[in-house]
Amino acid sequence: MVDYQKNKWFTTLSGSYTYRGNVKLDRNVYYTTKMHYTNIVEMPNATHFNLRAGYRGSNWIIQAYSNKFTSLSGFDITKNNMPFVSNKMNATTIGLHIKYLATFLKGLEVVAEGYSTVAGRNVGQTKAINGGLFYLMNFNKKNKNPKIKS
Amino acid sequence: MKKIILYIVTIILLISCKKNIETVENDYQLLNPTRADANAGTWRPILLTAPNEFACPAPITTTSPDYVIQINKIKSLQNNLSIEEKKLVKYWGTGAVLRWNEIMRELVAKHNIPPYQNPDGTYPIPQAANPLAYPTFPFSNPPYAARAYAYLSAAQYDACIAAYHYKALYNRNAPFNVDANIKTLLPKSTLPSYPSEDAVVMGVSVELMKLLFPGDQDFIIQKAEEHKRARLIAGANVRSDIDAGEAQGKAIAAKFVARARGDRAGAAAGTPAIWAATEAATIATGQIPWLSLETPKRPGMLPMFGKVRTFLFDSLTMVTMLRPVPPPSTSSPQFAAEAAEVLYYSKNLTREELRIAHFWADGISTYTPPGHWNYIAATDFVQQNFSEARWARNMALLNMALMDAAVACWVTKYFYYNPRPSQINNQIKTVTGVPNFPSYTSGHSTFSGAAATTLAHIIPANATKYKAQANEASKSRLYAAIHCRSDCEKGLEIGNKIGGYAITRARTDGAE
Repeated sequence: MVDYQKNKWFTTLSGSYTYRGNVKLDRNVYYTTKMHYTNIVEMPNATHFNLRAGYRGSNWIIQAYSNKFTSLSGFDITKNNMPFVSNKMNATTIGLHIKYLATFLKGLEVVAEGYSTVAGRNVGQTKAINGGLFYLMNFNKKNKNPKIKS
Repeated sequence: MKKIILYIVTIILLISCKKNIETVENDYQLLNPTRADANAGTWRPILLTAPNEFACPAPITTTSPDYVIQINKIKSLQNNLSIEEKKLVKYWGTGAVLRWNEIMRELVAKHNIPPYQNPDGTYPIPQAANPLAYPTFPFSNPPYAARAYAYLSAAQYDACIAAYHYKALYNRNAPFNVDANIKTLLPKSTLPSYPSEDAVVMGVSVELMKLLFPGDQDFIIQKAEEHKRARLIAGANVRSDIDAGEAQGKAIAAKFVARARGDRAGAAAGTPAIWAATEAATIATGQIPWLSLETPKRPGMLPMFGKVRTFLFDSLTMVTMLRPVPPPSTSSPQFAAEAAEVLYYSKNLTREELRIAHFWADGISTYTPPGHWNYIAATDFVQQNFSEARWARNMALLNMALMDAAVACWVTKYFYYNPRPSQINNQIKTVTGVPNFPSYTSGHSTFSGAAATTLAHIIPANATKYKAQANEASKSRLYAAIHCRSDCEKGLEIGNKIGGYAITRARTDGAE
């Protein structure tokens, strides 16, 4: 993960590699692009990159981001077929995330987010928006100035 | 130091999770028959009028120059064998019937996907003449698959009878007996080698598969070439053993292909007029008719499959002996009670019942329930050390029973046109896909009864196991909330009866 901030403008790049173990089925045979006479399925490993950039102020955090999830193996769902646990699943999403820390009431936060899947393989073309309201209560009386982590 | 240990433990855990998967089919032992069944040429064939119906020319002598060339060809192939070639020999060395059956199972699974609807809400029908265009041919659903396995196995059996007949007639020595310098990479067969039993099975299988899976010819022919090469490399056959076997197999296949073209399976999809008449006939009896639960509504699967020509009994037997009494009336208290039981399972499945529902589901993209029983049979047959001829005979008995079970079950399904429990009560949430055809009787149960009864005759020591498996497969449909208890119990009962016809044949085919 790399994070760079100048004044209140920042950009962050993070990446991860997911190493997936085998999966055990209730069935003893399955077909992918060929027959497998076993109940064990080899799962595709995957990479995940996330790039985000935006404004990080004391009351407003506004960031645009992009996610790229890539299966390193796996096979495609065929037409009118069932999905399978080891399908190749790739998705690229772009989104916007906004967080507001209220000035008029300490501990109140409002978040709003929206994203869209702009490219993919064997995944749903999801568009989503969500919002949230948080109120942080401080039970630790000794510390008068809690640091709020986002 | 603690950190380092933690890293090491993590790495070990990761490595141990992964990833080498042992698959059953690579562990089969080599074919090494306890009994050679050298007299298999005298067994009773299915379609052949006699074991020598198709001529097989006398082989060249083992002292002829041409034969010596063929022996030398083996020697040159055996120089510097690659790992791949050794694997090929081992793969095919487990048995020709086993491997071609396995290839068929794979093709069934590959093609077991229903066509997607047209924009106007109708469904396209796969066309054998144009197999690669969408929807690709075939849609190898359970009835199609049952019939495919049956033709393949029955033809392999007749082909073996012919091959063993000519083996006994010509009595040509195997190459490793003619020339001591030939290495044998497989257990030495005591049978004469002309014509090759592997090649006759391969030849007949290729032709049947080209009929049943016409879009996969390249794959099928590639397998056949590998099979032939494996036999040569192994030192088990010379080229002329293989050529004669392949020619004999192809000739016999033509007879089975002709039967298949005339067995009425081609008309099994029915027509809109037939679909409407079937529904009207059920309404006329006062019963709620079956309705497709797909969107858009899909015509029922192969409504006329019940008209297909069976192998083990005639159509009169079908109607008088094998079509069961009607299901509980859709307005009866018994029907309501059975639907309530289905609803109970759909809400209260234990983990074990869920496992059973999944294990036997054998739905789309699988080798179907008949394929599942072929797999069970094949795995057990490997342990029995059968000869190639006995493998073929036992697979033929099993698969004729399974196909006839499909026909009998489809007669019943479209005669009574009985609704699925989830059609009557939409509270019922099913655990697996709802099959797109009438409920009574359960196909899984009919298949499983027929298979278990037949297999119990072939391997009596496993009778209890097969019966338990059939019961579990039958119950799995109730657990999956797609069948009432009557569907399952009656299906199992009819299936057992059909297995009885296979046993009757088995007792009189000369192999026992």
